[in-house]
Amino acid sequence: MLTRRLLLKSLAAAGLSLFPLSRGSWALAGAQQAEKHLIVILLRGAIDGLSVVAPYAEANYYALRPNIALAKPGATDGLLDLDGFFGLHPALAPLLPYWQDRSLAFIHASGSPALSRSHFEAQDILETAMLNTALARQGWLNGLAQILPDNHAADRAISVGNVMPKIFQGKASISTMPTNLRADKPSAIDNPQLEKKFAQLYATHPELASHYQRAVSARAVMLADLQAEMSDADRGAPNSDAFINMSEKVAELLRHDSHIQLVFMDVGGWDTHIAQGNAKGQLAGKLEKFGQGLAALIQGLGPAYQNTAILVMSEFGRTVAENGNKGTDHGHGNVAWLLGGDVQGGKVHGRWPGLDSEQLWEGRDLAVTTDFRAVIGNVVGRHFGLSDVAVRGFISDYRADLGLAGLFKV
Amino acid sequence: MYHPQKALLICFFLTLVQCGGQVVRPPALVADDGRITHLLNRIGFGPSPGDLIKVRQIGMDNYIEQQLKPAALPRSARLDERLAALSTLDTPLVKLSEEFEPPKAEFNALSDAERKTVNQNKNRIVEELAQAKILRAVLSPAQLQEVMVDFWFNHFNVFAGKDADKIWISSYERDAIRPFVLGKFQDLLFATAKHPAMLFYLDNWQNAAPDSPGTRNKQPGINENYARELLELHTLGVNGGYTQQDVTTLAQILTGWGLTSGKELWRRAAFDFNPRRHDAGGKTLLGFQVGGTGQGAAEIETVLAKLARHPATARHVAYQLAQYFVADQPPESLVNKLSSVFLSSDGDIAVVLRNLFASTEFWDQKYTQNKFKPPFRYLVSSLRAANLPPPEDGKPLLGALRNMGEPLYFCLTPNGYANSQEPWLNPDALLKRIDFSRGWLRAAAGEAAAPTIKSSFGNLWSKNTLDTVADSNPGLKPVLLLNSPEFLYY
Repeated sequence: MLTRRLLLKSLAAAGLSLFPLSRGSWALAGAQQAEKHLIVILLRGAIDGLSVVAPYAEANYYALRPNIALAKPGATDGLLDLDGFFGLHPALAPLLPYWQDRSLAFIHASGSPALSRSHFEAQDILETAMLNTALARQGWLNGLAQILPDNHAADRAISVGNVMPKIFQGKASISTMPTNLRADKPSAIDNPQLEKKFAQLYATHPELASHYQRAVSARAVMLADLQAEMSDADRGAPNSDAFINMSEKVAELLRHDSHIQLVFMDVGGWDTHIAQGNAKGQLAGKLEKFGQGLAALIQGLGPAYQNTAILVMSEFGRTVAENGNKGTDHGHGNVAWLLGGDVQGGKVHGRWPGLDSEQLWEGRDLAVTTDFRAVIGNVVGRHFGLSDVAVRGFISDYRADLGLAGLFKV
Repeated sequence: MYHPQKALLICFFLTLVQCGGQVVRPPALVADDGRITHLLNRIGFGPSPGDLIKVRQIGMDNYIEQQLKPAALPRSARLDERLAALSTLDTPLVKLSEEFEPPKAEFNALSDAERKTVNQNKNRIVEELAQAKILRAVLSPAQLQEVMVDFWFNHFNVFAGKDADKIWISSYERDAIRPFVLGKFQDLLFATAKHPAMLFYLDNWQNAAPDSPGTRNKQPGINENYARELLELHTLGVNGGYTQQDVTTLAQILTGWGLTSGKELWRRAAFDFNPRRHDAGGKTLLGFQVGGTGQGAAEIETVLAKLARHPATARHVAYQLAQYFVADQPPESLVNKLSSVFLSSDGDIAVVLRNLFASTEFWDQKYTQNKFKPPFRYLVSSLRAANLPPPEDGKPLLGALRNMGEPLYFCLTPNGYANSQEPWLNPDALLKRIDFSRGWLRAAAGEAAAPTIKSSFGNLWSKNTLDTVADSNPGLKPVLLLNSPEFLYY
């Protein structure tokens, strides 16, 4: 079978330019099989989940957050009501239609049973799905890439950003998609002779040889996809916001390249120790852009959204009470976000532990009632149709959680 | 690290007269070139042409000793001349603040375009600092000193993108890091703890005892940010045996440890302890009693001193150093050794490093050529190997580092840039290196660079690399050398 990657390689070898290829030719190939996509977005810095999906029916929510709580639905700048108990941050209004069409769900009070309130340790835990990260040898998304079929294709899994994040570190081939969007800048290896020369240079070094081979195949595919996309972008005004911009690129890639299965993106800046704000302010401004970016991603996916699951997580939550600087400090439980065609949305899943002082974890934080590994395992297992045993191949301590049984439609 | 018997034997054959029965340190042997290259790669940013011969002449042990005492090394006139052109480097902190941050009333009266200019001017400070970092790393004879500035800056990282730190970062490296990189760990800890750039970056200037008289209804509360990173990153390490309660307690202890106050930035650009914002109550941290004596700042200094000498700190620093200088997963034996030297020398960094460079682990074959260069090291070692001074216009190199994922002084998170290969080694990074070196070599040196690069590393090159280079076109030769496995790893 002539795959598109092989085709690209043979064209390159023949010294033909890749540029004239229109994306239409790939769109045709992609449309024939409905492959599943998973997009994982990590909000680095610990987002305040109690502002994303706020428990406005809890008296303590208002008592402990005199300056930063969001007003009840119906009030000026109030929450967008979800189910009579929880409300969505008003800056996330672009996502409300997906709640209404039941493709957006939340899993509240989820997180890691580990005690760490260190950003880096907690992110490592989340990215390796191991509580003892010293034992981890790979990121869980890389582990997943290893068990999905055809795991040797370099363009099957894409990490957005310049540096390979821990979640994608491991044996499987992962491509990186630069955020600076200059993938179309000519590279030495676009010249077939130079490409061969470097292959020769790395021939006796297995580690570099493997990275190099992945670079070569990913380069060919990216070049074609982004080339098609770039000419589109010239028509509209450039978007100043990096996440919205990247979301659009990722959507474009997935729409026209159905065999991309895994995508990872991360967004930082959620560590709101000071002046967090409520309906307006620091967090609201960031959420607004993030919500717009997610909406742009979904719209950009078009019909492919039906075969996509988007999982948004953060390393831990923030303190229930605001601190002395009208911000919040490192906490524990948080909310996970899930979007996609096969998601049982319009519902806040999980077990709500409550915000009364005796219900708080260590007297200060939202308790964790759903293990984040159960969330990941459930989402990945259901979305890709993997057994629990298969899931344990990359989340060794995965335990199915019956509380999440209703997360997907059938 | 030479072999006395072997050296004597060779002396015997070559220059009996010179040996003359005296106990002199013989020059290192040509056969030691591999070891010298390893030393130059680790103790500094890699060999420049002539370095191999120089170390052969004075001997590796002497070279190590010289590097451990950088004050005695001759300065590079070329470097000093280049640094002199960077006018913000030596400007004192308060003056920088005054010069680059106009009074608020003045700023508010400016047009949008003028405000933009004010903000762009600020960028000059970090740009010059970044240029200086590259210049020093490439040109300074005190290579270990520059390596350690890089190491400790990342250990005590601050981020140039955060408001006032755009202006203060230059003083932070100059005043809080550089003077202490080979001195006592405790001095580093104190200097960083008191520098406005750190106090601002990790928010401790806002950390005050709730309802204390000094809060005046402004910023009236506990902020744990610095306390947490102080334990997790700067001292004990994440597995250092502390609890959330210790973080909270340390934050209480650190209340009032902040900045001078004032409307304009230059008035706030100094460390200040404000007893009126301090929680004077007694506390228990890591099992020992603190405070309750009304001593305020002295209480905090006692705690910092205790943390600097804590066995967990010794272990954490030992691990980091062993990781930086020996292996991504450093051998436990070395970490143990360095940790006990750290404790017995009262945190004397030069003593710890002397032991590190004398260890069997440092010289073990399996720990040579086993570390993948981070982008900054890759770029600097390339310039050194090709004997090219950094260009006058620093922007292209800074842009290249940004593109490769290591924008200088812009690591957002307090853990600094990683010393291990995972974040750096991936397909895209490899392509970026190839394209970077192809671009700048063509512009700066052309094919003439190949023999220079080749000679810098003596007999390091593998047969496969030499064969690949031999039958390639001349312009590509230096690019191949700088992207060969022997050069990408160190």
